[in-house]
Amino acid sequence: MGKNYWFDSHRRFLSNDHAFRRNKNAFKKGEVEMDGPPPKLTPTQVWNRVKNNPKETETGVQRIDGYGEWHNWIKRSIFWDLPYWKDNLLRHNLDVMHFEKNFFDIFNTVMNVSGKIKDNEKARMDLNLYCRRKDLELKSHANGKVFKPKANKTCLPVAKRS
Amino acid sequence: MYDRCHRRRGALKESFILGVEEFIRKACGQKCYQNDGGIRCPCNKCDCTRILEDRIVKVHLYKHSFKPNYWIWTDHGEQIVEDDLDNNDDCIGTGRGVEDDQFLSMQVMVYDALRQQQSSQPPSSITMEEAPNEQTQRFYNLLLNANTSLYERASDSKLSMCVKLLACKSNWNVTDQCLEFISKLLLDVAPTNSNLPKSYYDAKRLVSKLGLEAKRIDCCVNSCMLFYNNESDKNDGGLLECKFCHKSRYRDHNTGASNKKPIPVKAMFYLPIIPRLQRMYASTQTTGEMTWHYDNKSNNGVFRHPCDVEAWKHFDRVYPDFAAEPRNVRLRLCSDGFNPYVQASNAPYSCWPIIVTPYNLPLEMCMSKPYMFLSCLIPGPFNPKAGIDVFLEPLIDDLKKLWSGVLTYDISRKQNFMMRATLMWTINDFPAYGMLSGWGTHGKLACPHFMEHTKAFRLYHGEKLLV
Repeated sequence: MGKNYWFDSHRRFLSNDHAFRRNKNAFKKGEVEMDGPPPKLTPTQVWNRVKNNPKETETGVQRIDGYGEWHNWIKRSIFWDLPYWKDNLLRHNLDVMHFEKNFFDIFNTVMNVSGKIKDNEKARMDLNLYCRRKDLELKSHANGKVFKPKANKTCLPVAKRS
Repeated sequence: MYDRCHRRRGALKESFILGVEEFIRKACGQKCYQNDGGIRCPCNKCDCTRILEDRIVKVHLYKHSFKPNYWIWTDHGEQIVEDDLDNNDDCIGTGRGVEDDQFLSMQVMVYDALRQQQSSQPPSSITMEEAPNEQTQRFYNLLLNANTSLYERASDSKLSMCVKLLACKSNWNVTDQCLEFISKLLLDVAPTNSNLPKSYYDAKRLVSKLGLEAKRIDCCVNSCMLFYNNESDKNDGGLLECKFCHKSRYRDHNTGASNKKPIPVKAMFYLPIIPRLQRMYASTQTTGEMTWHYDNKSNNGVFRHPCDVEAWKHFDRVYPDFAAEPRNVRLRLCSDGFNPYVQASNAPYSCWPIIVTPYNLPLEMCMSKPYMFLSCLIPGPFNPKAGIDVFLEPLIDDLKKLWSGVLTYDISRKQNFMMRATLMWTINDFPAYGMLSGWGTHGKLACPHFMEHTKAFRLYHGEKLLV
């Protein structure tokens, strides 16, 4: 437990003949993405899935069968009680502030901020398993020490200062 | 007069020398030149403290130039212009300005009520105009009653005095006892038989009559349920223990017959949304702006306001009767947890405010502080997780009522109308998204877009990898 998930589905949104879909080296190794984007559920379809789920206010917090296996529903949201809710196209939104924060967190890795960098040994070990990037994999020296090659997009200390 | 703003550019500029000449000439013309026997040197070093001969002042100015920000020669006979004073006030006293603004808007509302009272007495000739409905009329009457002046020729009314007292408490966290003392002090100072509030409690009671109250609803310790009566079918107000976990509603107090009110273990605050929305139509300041979204739809495909997006238009297509009335309110809901006790020594405490905002207003008002209504305050100490629905129940009940319509008085058109409101969407961060939408945002199936079609897999070594 505590291990993170990798959501590797970005290529599914590309057009069917896009070169990235057939690229076996730059993304997950050896994988060709042929699936299309996921189906867009209409509000009514969502309602049909949700309507049999228990309501918190009537039953208390319950665990629904198959949670985490074939679905991730935790409840029937109370908003479905509103008579017009199933005619709303956009029911829930994420706020932009958090996107910005997550996006700029990546800059910590690029700028090599010590303590905030996510490009650690374990990440490089995973790289071995899932990617074809020989130049970035951990290398061991003759004296037994493990050495992490610099990524080609990181900022060197000199450039960081200027 | 030479252009003073440029005089610090360089000592030997032509215009500077001319400017200094003129300054000396002007300073010599002053009365204090004869009295002091010289000019107060305004150079950077002397700083208007030393009185020197004009010849030396000139050399000083060439050498050190004028002292910074000496735009107006106050030490040489010039007066500060009124305009500048105002600008300074704007810069420095923003804190005060905001407060004054707060009271000003209240006065505008009282003024509206006054005008309403005057206009409603003679029967209006135009058939469209109506008297406000009973509830609104009661509010206006209360406002007028409370608006009696404190004593003869007083600048403040009783209402504004009470509001200022309460504002004092909320702005600077003054204790009750201190407010009690201040109100006594005011009573002593003011002439006898003034209308001042007798005590803090008196002030609070007067202001609370104006409506916009906060309801306190008891809830279960484990946040399983609210002890709350619904208008439809729910009737849990009288229960003494939780339906699900059977924990007691009240704190055990010491035995012994006491008639004291029992103390609930945990309680949430609900601030009803309906009177707040109605109040938007009770003041001339806001009521005109509430139809902004209808008149200002962008027609060139530029997205400026949520009323330009597809979801809004889709809703209009599905409910044309709702869309036809521009005064109907569109709301959005947002929520996030925060820790009110910031000291690090405290145990983590997560309190969840739920904020409802009307989207009808123009862009500059839409996201501003006065128009964001805090509607529920969910107490901690734990994150409510999926149980947030329990606390949203009173709000949802009000929203259902608002969908069928609530009689509201519109002061700008002088009509009663059925105000309806809809909740357009919620805006949250990702964990709260899971709590509100019902699709969990943990684990393999976290993505609410891909749902079960996801290709996520668990990293073998990974601690945290940003992809």
